[in-house]
Amino acid sequence: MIKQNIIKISLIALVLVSLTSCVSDVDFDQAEDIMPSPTLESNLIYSTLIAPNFIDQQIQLEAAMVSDTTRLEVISSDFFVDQLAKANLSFKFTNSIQRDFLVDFEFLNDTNELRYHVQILVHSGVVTNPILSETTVLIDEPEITTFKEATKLVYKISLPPSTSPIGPNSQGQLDLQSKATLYFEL
Amino acid sequence: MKYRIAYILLLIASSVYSQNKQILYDFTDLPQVLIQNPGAKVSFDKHFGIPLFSQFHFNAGSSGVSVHDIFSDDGQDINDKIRDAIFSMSNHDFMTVNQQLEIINGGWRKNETTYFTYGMYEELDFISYFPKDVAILAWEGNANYINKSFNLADVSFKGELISVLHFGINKQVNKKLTFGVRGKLYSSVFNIHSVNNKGTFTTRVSNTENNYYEHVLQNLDGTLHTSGLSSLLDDENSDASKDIKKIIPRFFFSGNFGFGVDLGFTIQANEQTTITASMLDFGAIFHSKEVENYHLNGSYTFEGIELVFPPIINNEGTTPYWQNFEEELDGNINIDTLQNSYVTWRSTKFNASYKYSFGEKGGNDCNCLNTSNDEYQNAVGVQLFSMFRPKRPQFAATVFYYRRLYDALRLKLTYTVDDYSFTNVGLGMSAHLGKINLYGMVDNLLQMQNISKAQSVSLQLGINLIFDSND
Repeated sequence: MIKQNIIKISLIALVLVSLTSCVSDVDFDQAEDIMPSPTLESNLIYSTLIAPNFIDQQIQLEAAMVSDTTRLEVISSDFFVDQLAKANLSFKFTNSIQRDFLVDFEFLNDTNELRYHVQILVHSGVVTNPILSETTVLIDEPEITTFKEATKLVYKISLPPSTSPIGPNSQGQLDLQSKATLYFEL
Repeated sequence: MKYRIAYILLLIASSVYSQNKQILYDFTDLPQVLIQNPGAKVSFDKHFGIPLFSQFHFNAGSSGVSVHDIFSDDGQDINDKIRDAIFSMSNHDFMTVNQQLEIINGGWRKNETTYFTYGMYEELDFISYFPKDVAILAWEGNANYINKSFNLADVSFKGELISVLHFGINKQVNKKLTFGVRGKLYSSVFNIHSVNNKGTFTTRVSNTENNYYEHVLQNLDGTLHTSGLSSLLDDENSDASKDIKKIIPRFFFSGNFGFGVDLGFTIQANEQTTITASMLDFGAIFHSKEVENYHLNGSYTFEGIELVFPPIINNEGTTPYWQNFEEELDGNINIDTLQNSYVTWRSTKFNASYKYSFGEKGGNDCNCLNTSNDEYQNAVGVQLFSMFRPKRPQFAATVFYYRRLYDALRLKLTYTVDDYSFTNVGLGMSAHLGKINLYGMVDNLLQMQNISKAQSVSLQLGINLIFDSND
C-alpha cells in the first residue's frame, strides 16, 4: 500500500508540475509590431572637375552647361520601393574656381521624366581659399514615392553669363561629394 | 542468475529534453541509460521499445534571452526590447534545437557479462550562434556605426536531420570494470552549415577625400555547405506531403552516410564508489550526393560612382557608370556555386560522473528486483557534460542526490550549472510496481511556473513494463 501511495503521489506531483507550468505575462500579438528600422549611410556620386573641364573643346570657350549622367537602378528596386520610408541627400561642394555655378541634380525615370530635383547655387572660390558648401535635402512623403520611380541621376552644371568667364588658363577645381542617408522600415 | 526481462511497452512522452541528459545519465534503473553510456552497469536481460514510442525528445534553448524578455506584456515597445536583447547578447550566445525520436530500441543479454543493444533513431540538430554584428547591421543600419567593422565571422550555424542505426556491446570485464562500445551508421537526410567565415564590412570616413565615406568589404571568405536540400527547395510544389515522401526514404538510403562510435565505462572502485564516463557520437558524415556549396570571397572598396564628365563633344554622358560598378563588384567579390563533396563531424558529447553510495542497502520491504543487485539507498555525486560546438565546447556541471524509497521509487534530484542558467534544478523519478515502471524527469523546476522565462526547459515522462523472473 505504501508503495502504491508513493507512486500515486509522485505521479500526481509530476502531472501537476507539468500542467501548472505555463506561459504567462506574455503577449505574442506584439509580434505584429516588430519593425526593424535600419538607417543606412551610402555614398552616392562624386567628381573632380578642373577649370579646363568647363571649356567647350570645339569652340575653345566657356561652355554654358556641362552634364553627366549615371544610372542608379537601386532607387527603383523592389527593396527601395517597398521599404524606403524617407531619405536625406547631402551634396558637398568645394569650389576653388573663380566662377559661380548653378547645379541641378535631376532624378529621371527611364523615359527621362523628372522624378525629383535639387538645385544648388555654388559660389565662386579661389585656389588659395576654396569655398565649402553643403546642402542636405530631406525626401519624405509624398515626394519619396515619385523619387523611388527614378532610375538615373543627371548632374548638370550651368554657368550663368559672367564678365569673367573661364578661360584655358583658369585655375582651380570644383569637387563634389554626395551621400544618401536611407531610412528603411522593414 | 536471476532473470529480469524489461519490455518497454509504452513510453508516453511529452518531453522537452536538453542535449545534456543529466537526470537520465547513470540512472541505471532505466534501460535508456545505455544510450547515454554504452558502458553503464545494467542488469537487464532483455529490453525492447515499441517502435516510434520508446523515446521522443525535444529541446530548444537560447543562452542569451528568453521568450519572456521579448514578449513580456509590460507595455514597453517590442522594438526597444529586441534592440536591448541584441545588445545584451554576445556572439558566443547561441540558440539550439535538438529533437530525437527513437524508432527502434532493444537489447538482450547474451550471458552474465555481455549485453547487446540495437536500435535506430532520428535526430534533428540545429545550432546557431548569435550573429551579433549582422544583427546590429540589419536592425540599426550602419549610420550610427561609421568606422565600426561588422564581422562576418559572427555568422556560424549548422543544422542537420539524420537517422542513426546502432549496435552496441556492453561487457562486464570484471567486478570493477564494465565497458561498452556502440557503432553507429549515420544517414543524412539533409545538412546545412556555415562556419569559419571571415571578413568585415566597414563604412569609414574617407581617407582619399574623394567622397564622404569608403564602404569597405575586406577579405570576405565565407562558405555555405548544403546537402540534400536543393531538391527540397528547388521544387515548385508547396505540397509538404510530397517533401515528406522524399525525405522518408533518405532515412535509410540518402547516399550521404557516415560512421561513428560511442564509448563508455563504469568503474566500481569499491562498494560505495562508482566512476563512469562516456563519449558519444565520435564520428563523421560524408556528403557527396545532392551537394550544393556556396563560396563567397574577395575584397572591394566603394567610394561612390565617379562622374568624369567626358568631353562635351560627346553631348550627353554615355559612360555606363552603373554597369561598370556592377562589373567591378562582381569581379572583386566572387560568389561561386560548387558541387564538391565535404565532411561534417558530429557534435561529440562527453559525460563523466562520480557517485558515492551510502546508507542502508536494498528496499525496506520486498525486493522485487534483482536481489544480487543489492544497492545502497542513497547516493550523491557530481557529473560533467561537454559537447563540441562550432565555436567552443558547451559545458555543464551537475551535482545530484539519488534515493531509493521502499525499493519502489527511485528519485534523483539534480542541480545543474550550464550556459543557459545557474538555477537549473531537476527531478527524476522512477517508480517500480510489479511489472510497471513509470518515470518522469523534469528540468528547470524553478521556471516551471512560467516557462517563457526559462532559457531552456526539459521534461520527460515514460512508462515501462518490466518483466522479472522473480515476479
